[in-house]
Amino acid sequence: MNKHLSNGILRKYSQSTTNNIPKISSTLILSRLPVITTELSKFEKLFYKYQEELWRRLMWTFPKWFYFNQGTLAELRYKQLNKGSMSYDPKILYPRGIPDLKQGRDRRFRQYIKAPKPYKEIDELSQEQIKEIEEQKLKNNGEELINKDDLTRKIIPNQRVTKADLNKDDKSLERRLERTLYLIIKVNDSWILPTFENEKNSTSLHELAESGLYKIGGDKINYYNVSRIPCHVKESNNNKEYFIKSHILSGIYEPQDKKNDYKWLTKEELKTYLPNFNEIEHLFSEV
Amino acid sequence: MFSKSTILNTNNTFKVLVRYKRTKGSGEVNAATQKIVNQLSVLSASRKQPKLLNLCNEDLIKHKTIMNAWNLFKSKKNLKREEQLRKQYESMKNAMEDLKNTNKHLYKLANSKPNKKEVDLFPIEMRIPTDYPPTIPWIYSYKPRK
Amino acid sequence: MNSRHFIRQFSQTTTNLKTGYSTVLPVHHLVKVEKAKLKPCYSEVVIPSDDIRSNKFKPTEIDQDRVQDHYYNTLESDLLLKFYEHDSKTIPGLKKREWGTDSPFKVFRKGKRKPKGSAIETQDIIPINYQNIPKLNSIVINSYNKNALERPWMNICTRLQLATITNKKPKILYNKSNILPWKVRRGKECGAKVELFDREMNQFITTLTEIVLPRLRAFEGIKLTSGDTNGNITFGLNADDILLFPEIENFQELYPNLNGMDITFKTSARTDQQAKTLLSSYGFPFYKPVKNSG
Repeated sequence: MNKHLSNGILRKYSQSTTNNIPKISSTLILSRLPVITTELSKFEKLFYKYQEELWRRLMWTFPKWFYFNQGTLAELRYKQLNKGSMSYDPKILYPRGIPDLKQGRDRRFRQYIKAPKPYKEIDELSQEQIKEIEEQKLKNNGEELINKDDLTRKIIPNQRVTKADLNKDDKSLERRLERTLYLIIKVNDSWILPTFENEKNSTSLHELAESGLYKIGGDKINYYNVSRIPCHVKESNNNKEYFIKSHILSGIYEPQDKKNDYKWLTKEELKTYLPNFNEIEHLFSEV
Repeated sequence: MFSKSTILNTNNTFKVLVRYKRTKGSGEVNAATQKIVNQLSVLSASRKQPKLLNLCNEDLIKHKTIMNAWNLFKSKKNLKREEQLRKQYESMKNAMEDLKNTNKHLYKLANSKPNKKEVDLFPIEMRIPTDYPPTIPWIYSYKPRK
Repeated sequence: MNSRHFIRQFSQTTTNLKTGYSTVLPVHHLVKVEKAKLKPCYSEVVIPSDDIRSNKFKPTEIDQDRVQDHYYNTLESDLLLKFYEHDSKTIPGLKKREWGTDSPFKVFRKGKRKPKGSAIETQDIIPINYQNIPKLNSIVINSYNKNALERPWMNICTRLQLATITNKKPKILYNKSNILPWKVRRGKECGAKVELFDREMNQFITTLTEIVLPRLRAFEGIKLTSGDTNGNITFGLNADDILLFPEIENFQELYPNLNGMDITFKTSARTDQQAKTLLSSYGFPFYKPVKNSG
């Protein structure tokens, strides 16, 4: 019985290797990693806010005497900004409870500290100064004049939404900076992940994917192959596609054949383009 | 009993005793020592600790509810992540098993690790995402090494 | 009646190292009693430190942790793919050996013999799957200050320096042995150390990789030869390098006696190679040191 079984298996193997050798190809999952952090949900934002307030409430008092020597100009400036809390006076009625002062801080509450700034906020400016800035704005086509070499300027972070997002340009690598983007190309009127056939079955899967990418997208791609190991296999009528994972770190994908269309899409957007998306859904990052 | 200064009259000689500012043992230390004392006081908790929170029962229940909700949220997220990792692992294992049965040569190339002593490093260009994008979000001018 | 046999401390070894401990022979307290569990007035002490009613309570998850997010979103699955080896089996590590019984001298030897080809035991190398992907467990910052041996106040500066950089109260290091030429005496303070976890660790990583290390002119990277064979990587920073930490940079006159420090990354990786790959994914550069010939 046992002998029979093993014989049967042997025959089956020999058949498949002699009669129809499967065509092997490597499919490339080329991703652009997120540049900025993920957008938080409302719950997360509120929770972090709550925890941070608790954390600040439980902080030790700021050691002012260590950072600002007594009698110096820096200390004077600090004192002007941070007026200490009122000390306890028995004649006064305190609706929020009796203050518990130690080293200029009411120990019952969080300590707020203002550091001297080299620039002025809008509400600190006088009417004339605001007028002056607005005049400058008008001269400079509506944009505020900022000297970028000035180290004392107020630092304004860049927008998380880029021009590519506003233009809905899905060929740009600058869109959806908080998400991982994946490259898909259009071949014969259908959208696929770039696939390259291994003709002689001699080059390794990851090298084939790399050389293939340069062939279709030009060599101005800073390409990083994660591993030699394929992360998925797709079988369909004697074709075997092995998926190779890699990242684009800088550079640009330029289709060598102008007819070939391409797109950089997030996981959710891929759903509508790829027919077998459910099979390979787990390979794409949620973020 | 003594006022600020006392004049004693003995043997026709006047001796004037005046109380000056005390110099010895007044708790003043030199500047270098004061600096060290300052440093030590930054490290120590004395006189710097806030009051304990001491929540009322209602606030305590609110806090516990928030923490429960957060832990639930986190565990759901973790489960989802682990499940995806498991799927990735299984499909990777499956792919390697399949490759082993289809083409031994390609399998060997894929499963071979680089030299045992060499470390497979990630490129330095892979950055940890920041809260706000850089002024130039993407570098297009990449030139391949020749 | 040798007082060295019993030291009147129950748990910590560091306290034993301090000078001036009591050498009175113990007659009571031989059984450890947890008073907090006995007396109702100590009930506050029994509250765990992560409970909001405890006096040790400190919130930990205070903001979005971008380093942790990056690890979960991209690095984890990349590392899985990188470290996976098909059909691999557990490689047993070097373990201590029995002395054997072939010689009468070996029979009553204490302890076990050291492993073959190594002074220390090494871990078994288990194949990587989705449950044991290497991750960073903690960072230990250790600052040994030999100047503090002669001038004990120097250790205050070292402790303060670590506290400002890491936002955590450092532990004091004590000498363990007497070596007179180096003025090392048992129980003397000789530096400080901090162990960082979670958000504090991740915060420290980003300060290093984004602010401090890129501005070090002579810094080439962490040596590729570093590591303790069990997946923990160490590198050092000079006293001059520490000036570049943003917390210290603007207040240089307040920190006159800076001391260099050793930074150890404790990872769950079983080999140094894997640990280095993991660290490089966080943005730490590595370099191959050139051997000096002659």
